[in-house]
Formats: sequence, structure tokens, C-alpha cells
Amino acid sequence: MPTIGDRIKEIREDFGWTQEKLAEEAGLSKGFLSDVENNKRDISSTNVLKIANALGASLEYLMRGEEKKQETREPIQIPVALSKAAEDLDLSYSETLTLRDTYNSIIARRSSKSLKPPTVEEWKHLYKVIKKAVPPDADEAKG
Amino acid sequence: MPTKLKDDFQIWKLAKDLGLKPKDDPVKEIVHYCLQQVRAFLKEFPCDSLSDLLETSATKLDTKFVEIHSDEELQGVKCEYLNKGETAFALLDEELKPKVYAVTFRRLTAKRGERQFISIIDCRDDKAFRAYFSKWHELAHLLTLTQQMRFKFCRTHATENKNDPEEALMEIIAGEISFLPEFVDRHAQGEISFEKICELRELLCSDASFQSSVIGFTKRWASPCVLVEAGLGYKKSEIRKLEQNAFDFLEKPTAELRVFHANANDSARQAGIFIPQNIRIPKASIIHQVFSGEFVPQGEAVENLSWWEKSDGSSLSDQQVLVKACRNGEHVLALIIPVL
Repeated sequence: MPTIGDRIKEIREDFGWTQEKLAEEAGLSKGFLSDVENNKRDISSTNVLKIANALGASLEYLMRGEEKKQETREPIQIPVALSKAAEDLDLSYSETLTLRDTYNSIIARRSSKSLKPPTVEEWKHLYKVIKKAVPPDADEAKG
Repeated sequence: MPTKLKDDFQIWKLAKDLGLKPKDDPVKEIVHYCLQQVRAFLKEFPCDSLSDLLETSATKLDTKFVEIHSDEELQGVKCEYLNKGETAFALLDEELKPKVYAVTFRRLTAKRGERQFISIIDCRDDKAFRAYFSKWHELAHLLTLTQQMRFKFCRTHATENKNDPEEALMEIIAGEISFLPEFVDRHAQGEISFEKICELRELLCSDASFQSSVIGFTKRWASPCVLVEAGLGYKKSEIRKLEQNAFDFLEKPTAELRVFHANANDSARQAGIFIPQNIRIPKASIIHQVFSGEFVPQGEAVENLSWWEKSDGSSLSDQQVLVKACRNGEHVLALIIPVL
């Protein structure tokens, strides 16, 4: 069963960092980090936090590993305006959901402007902007 | 806003969605809920400064801050994440318009071990001064994120030309958590001054802007103080006429030094010290002299609130005050301290 040390090593290697680099960024000694990754020493939560901050990694994942995701069936909601836009643009169901999910992934913004649900024209504009900007092989990354 | 925030339906709904049961003030309950979470982070990971707490809170809330300092950096971040399949980043330029200081995305293609969210903080031009507070504002959104909020488009209560009440609430939450009493209160004692504020800023939140720290620390200061921001402005009636171009054939009014904002801390409110918005600054006040640059960028003097005259001709209360003024760009910040 993977340990904290295993996960730290996994994320560090994904990042392309050496132990020395991570140790320096996290303010830890290389020897200590090596021992942790090789499961020879325990590591405090404070030091895991330092590593998470240095790597920009998920603290939860480093501490506890992959969480089991609960299977919840939520009703799929497509707003009327998006539905109309999808019809006008002849989008597939999958493309429509992708557009909805893309918009919904913008979860917060600090601004003084009021937030309104997008209109049909705004959904169409969003679709065009995304289509223009997304590189062709980005879909592979999503897989 | 036409109604008070605590009476707004969206705020009551948010409180309910968070599992809270407010009796009459959902704003207070939601702020308390957020403070509890941040205090739990602090208990788990003790921090030496507010800046450390900001980083720790971001980690606990599973977001990564990415600052953008130039248009080139924006394009770089946009391409980086688009190449990872994060299609929402196609909208990054559009999202970060002049009045938008930060935006948080939920990752669609996060790999194992990567954070679930990413908060883009726009630090281009003047927005850089707001970066510290913008980060806390984004964390306020994450502290109050509910399942229902994932279907954001279902909200139909925001109306045209109305500041979003939830955004206003996030500003209130950010104001509370960014200068947490546990860090500030033991230092915010004695006579307040801009020098003391600068020292505390260096100690507790060096990445906060001068203005942000003046606002935050003044609010928490133990002794009474009203923070005034002054600049050139017009009377309300003059503003209306200017907007209607009513002065086409008449002499246009002259802008005068007025109060843009006046924030009294709790002690000042309890002492009954009140300075209305848009009131003219008395010509004899040190605030005028600092504004016109007769002294070095700051000065202080003992004055009286009765010098301040309202538009109806009446004056503020007879109360001796120590006024400490400091130039801040085109405006003047002033600490108005009652002499007791």
C-alpha cells in the first residue's frame, strides 16, 4: 500500500524535480527527504504541508492518497439558453455538456460586476472562443 | 444595493445550502462559519503571519494561486492550461477584464496529486495593489462553495446593474479572515499611526498593499479611529447635473476635496464618532495641506470635528480629534482619532 513517502516521490518525479531541489524549496534537508521517500522516517503534517506548498500539490493526496469518490447521481441540468444555443450551433449532447462543464469550472471571480446566467448569444460566443483557443490535441489530455 | 445584504434572498439561500440556520442575520452566520474553518486550519498548522495563513488556507482549500503580471504571462498561463485540456482557460482574457481582479477555475483534467482548483490573480497595473485581498476573496468563495454552486447558471436573482450580493458577501468574509484577530489584536494597541501600521504590515502581511493594510489594521485597532479616504469630488446634485450635461451653458462646478470613504472601527462607532460620505474636508484641515503638497507627504494636527460642515449647513459634533494624514496616489488617507 503506497505510503506518504511513495506519494511524495511520485509527485516530485512528475514535477521533474530532484530530491535536492524539492528539499531546498520546502526548507528541508535532502537527507531527511530521502529517508521519508524511502520509508525510513516518518514525516510531520507540517513538513508535508511544506512539501505540498513547494510542489503546488494536493495536501489531501499527499497525506491520505486517493480518496474514494462517492458515486452520486445528480440530475443533468442544461439551461434553456444553452439548449437553444446548442440547437442553433448543431452541437452534440456531449459537446453541449462539455460547454456547460467548461463554463461551470469558472467557480469564482472577484469583480464588482453583477453575475447573470449567460444568454443564448453568450453561450454561442463562449463556444466559438473555446473552439478557437483549444489546441486539437488537448482532447487527448482530457482523456 | 436596494436592500441590506442580510435581507437578500441569495444570501439566505447560501446560508441554507451551507447547512446553517440563521435567525435574523445570515451574513453574520456565514462569516462565522468561514472564520471557524480558517481557525481550524490555523489549529492544524500554526502560522507565524497572515501571509503564512493565506498560503496554508489555499493549500487546505486545494487551490493554487497563479499571479499574472503582464499580458505575456497571461497568454503563457492560458496556453499552458489549454494544452492540458482545461478548456475554460480559453476565456481567461475575457474573464480578467478591467474590473475583475481574480478568477478561480475548478480543474477539469487535474492529474492525481494536483490541486482541484486554480486561482488566477491579476497583478497587471493597478490590480497588483489588490492582490493580497483578491487572494482572500477567492478563498472566501472556496470556503462557501456548495454543491448547489456548481450549477451557478441556475441563479436567476442577479439583476442588471446590481452588484452581486454574493460578491459583496465575499468581500466582507475576506475582510474578516485577511486580518484575523488572533494575529492582529495583540499588536493593534496604543495610539494608531501610519508608521505602526507599516511595521505590522512588514511583520504580518508583507504582501498586502499599504492601503489594504491601513484598512485592515484600522478596523481591528483597539482604540477609536475613523479611516477617511479623501479626494476631489462633487456634491450629489452636481454629479447628477454633470451626468445630464446640465452645465452646457453654465459654469461647471469645481471639484472639492471630499470624503470618498469613511470607515469607523468598532470603538469609534461605540464612541459615536461619525463622518458622512462625500462631506467636504474643511479648508483648515491638515488633510487639505497634505493633499496640496504643502508639507512632505504626511502630517498631523489637532483639529475639531465641528469644523466639518454638511451640505445643509450644520456641523459635525464638537469633538477634538487628532488627524494624521498621508498622501496615497491621487488621494489622501487620514486617521481621525478622538482626543478623549
